[in-house]
Parts: sequence; C-alpha cells; structure tokens
Amino acid sequence: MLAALPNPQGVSVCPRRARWQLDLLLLALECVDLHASELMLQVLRELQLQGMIPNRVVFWQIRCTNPFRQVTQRTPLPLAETKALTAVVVQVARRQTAILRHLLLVLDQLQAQNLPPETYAPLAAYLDRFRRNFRKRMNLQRSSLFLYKNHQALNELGLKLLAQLLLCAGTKGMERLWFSLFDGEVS
Amino acid sequence: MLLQRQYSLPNCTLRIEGLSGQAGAEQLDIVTCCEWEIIGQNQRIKGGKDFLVALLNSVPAAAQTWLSGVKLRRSPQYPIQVEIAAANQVSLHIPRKLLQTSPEENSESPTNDEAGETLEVHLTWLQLADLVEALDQFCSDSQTLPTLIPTFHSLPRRAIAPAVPLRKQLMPLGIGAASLAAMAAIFFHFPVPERRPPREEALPPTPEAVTPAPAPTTPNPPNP
Repeated sequence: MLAALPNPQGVSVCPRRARWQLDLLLLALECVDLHASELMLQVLRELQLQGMIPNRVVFWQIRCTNPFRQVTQRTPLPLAETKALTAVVVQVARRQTAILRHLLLVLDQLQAQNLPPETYAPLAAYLDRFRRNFRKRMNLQRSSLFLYKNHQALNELGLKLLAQLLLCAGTKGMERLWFSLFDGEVS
Repeated sequence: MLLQRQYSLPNCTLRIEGLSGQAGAEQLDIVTCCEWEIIGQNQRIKGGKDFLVALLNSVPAAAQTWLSGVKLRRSPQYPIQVEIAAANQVSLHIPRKLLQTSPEENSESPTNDEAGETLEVHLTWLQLADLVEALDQFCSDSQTLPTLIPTFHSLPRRAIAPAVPLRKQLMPLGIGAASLAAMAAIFFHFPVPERRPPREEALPPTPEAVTPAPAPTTPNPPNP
C-alpha cells in the first residue's frame, strides 16, 4: 500500500509543514471519534507497520515531531514513517466517512439557516473536543499559533479539517494527501 | 454504439456519454457529452470533452492546494478558476464557451459575471469533495478512457508565495536606510568641530615633591 507513494525528489525527511498537517489531521480524527486512537493502532497492525511503529509510545513520539506541540522533539521524521502516518490518516478517515459526511451535511444546513455550528449537539461536541485538545497539546505561545487563541478561529480550523479529512478518504485520497504534504518543498 | 457512464455520489452526479472506438466493445473511448449535476442545488451543467478536461485539470489541483494550505504565487492558468474560501464556500468560474447549455436555461440559479462570459457556480465543501471523488472514480475506471491516468505532483518551490511577503521582508531594510539618510542630512548641516590643542598646564606639585625627603640617618658608630 505504501509503495504507491513515491519519494519526492530532493526531499529526504518530512518537511516541517507536513508534520504539522499530519498531526492536525490525526487530532481531528481523535476528536470526531473517541475510539480513534485505538483504531489508529489497529490500522497499524492491519497494515503490518508494527515493525516501524510497535506501540502507542513510539506513535506518540512520532507525532511529537510536530514543531508546534508543547512537547516537541527535534528529531527528523523519515519518509517511511511519514508514509505510515499518511496511511493511518487515510484509513481511519475512510472508516469515519459516514460521520464526516453527516457533520458536514449538518453544517451546510445550519449555514443555510444562518445558525452557528454549535447549535447541533454532535458538531458542538466535536468542536469542543477539538478546541480543548488543541489548546492542551499545541504551544499557543508560538507566533504562528497566536491566531488560534481566538475561539472562532479554532472552530473554523476544526470545520476545515473535517472537509479535508473527507478529501483524504476518497478513492485517490492517499495520493492526494501525500503529494500535498510536499507542496512547495520540491525543486 | 452510444455508451453512458454515471458516477453518483450523494451531492453530485457525473454522467459521461461517448462512443467506443471498436464496434461492440464496452470501453468508452470518445467522449461526446459530460453532464455534472449538483444535487443540492438542482443544477445541471453540461459540456463536451473540453469541459471534462478542464474539470479534471482544475478541480483536483485546487483540492490538493487547499489540502496543503499553501498560497500560490499566482493563480493557476486553468480554464476553470476554483476558489475555496474559509467559510464552507467554494466558487467555480466556468467559461461559457466550454458549456453546451444556453444562457436562458441557467438564468435562474447561477449568477452571471459582469462580462457574462463565465458561469459562476457556488458549492459547499461537501459538494466539492463529492465532485473530486466523482472525478477520481472516473479517472480510475478502466472501462472509460483507459488512457486517462490520474497523475499527481507536488507544487515546486517557485510556485509558492513566500510565507512573509517581500514587502514585509524589505521593510526593516528600508526603515534603516531612511533613518541613516535622515541622520546624515541632519549632521551635514552641523559645523565640523575644530580640533583644539590640549592646554599645557603646570601640574600642581605632588605632596612627595613638597615634603623634603627625610635625611638618611647615619648609623651611629658602635660604642666601643
């Protein structure tokens, strides 16, 4: 499965923006479904990636390569592990497609009636979990994340991630996500 | 034999009509008509092969750029312009020359541009995701245009706008140069200070010089 993802030319490790993007998508998946973290480990077992990521501690360490986390580590993320994270995002998003579609459909209906997203309880629960997890895990003192001290900006980010996850869950979602990670990085 | 393919998703249906290159074959090789139906808006947009190719070029590329979150240095030169905004709003600007429908048929739902040469279609994120998925399914279908292979590529570095705009990068340099020029202009009008030779003044006598040195005491000769 990972063989469908070619190594980009001139890039040997995962770029900074890609690490941020992958961790953010995984965070959104965890907020959509409370059992998503277990599902991620199950997907790793199904894809036989246990040799690369044997347990949840290593998985957490890999996610901590996101430079905007409060607990971050400066070790580079190899492309093989980036592919594993991409596969996990896509596989978990595919299993949550029904929830993602439902939340986005409700969002459309609420917008048509000029109602805020928090009007619908499941959407409000997702946004609440996303805001809390984001503020708990990310370093809001970084200048790039000053924007997300605002409640509304964080809500918009959470809703955008729902649509991006749906794009990743499509037929060619894995390739699309993989190549998007290296936009602006190849020469 | 006229062949028809339909890719149905909850918010979008893509119908492709065409012919087979070989008699009696089920493989669609020549596209004659492409119809895109947006379910939520009851809107049908019909075009030919050029419309289909334009959709294939512009929509997946815009979706990938939105997924990566980068800003392009200049908007892509595709026939169909896709703008994905933050608040669940997507707009497509489709040139009317690509469409087969007459303007009267679409006069109710779509809004015409000032020039009247493009059809503006408003979508939501969900409808955009369904359109991208329909196009992906179409590209992956081995019975429809088998020579059409979906290709992905990452955008090169030169296509991306810098995170900090050039104007902002040059601002400290400009402020520094301007302040240097202003200070140089001010100090230009000041007279050049004359060099004064240092005055030679008699140094006050030091206490060591005033007080006479104690006379050396001669040791008394030892008494016998």
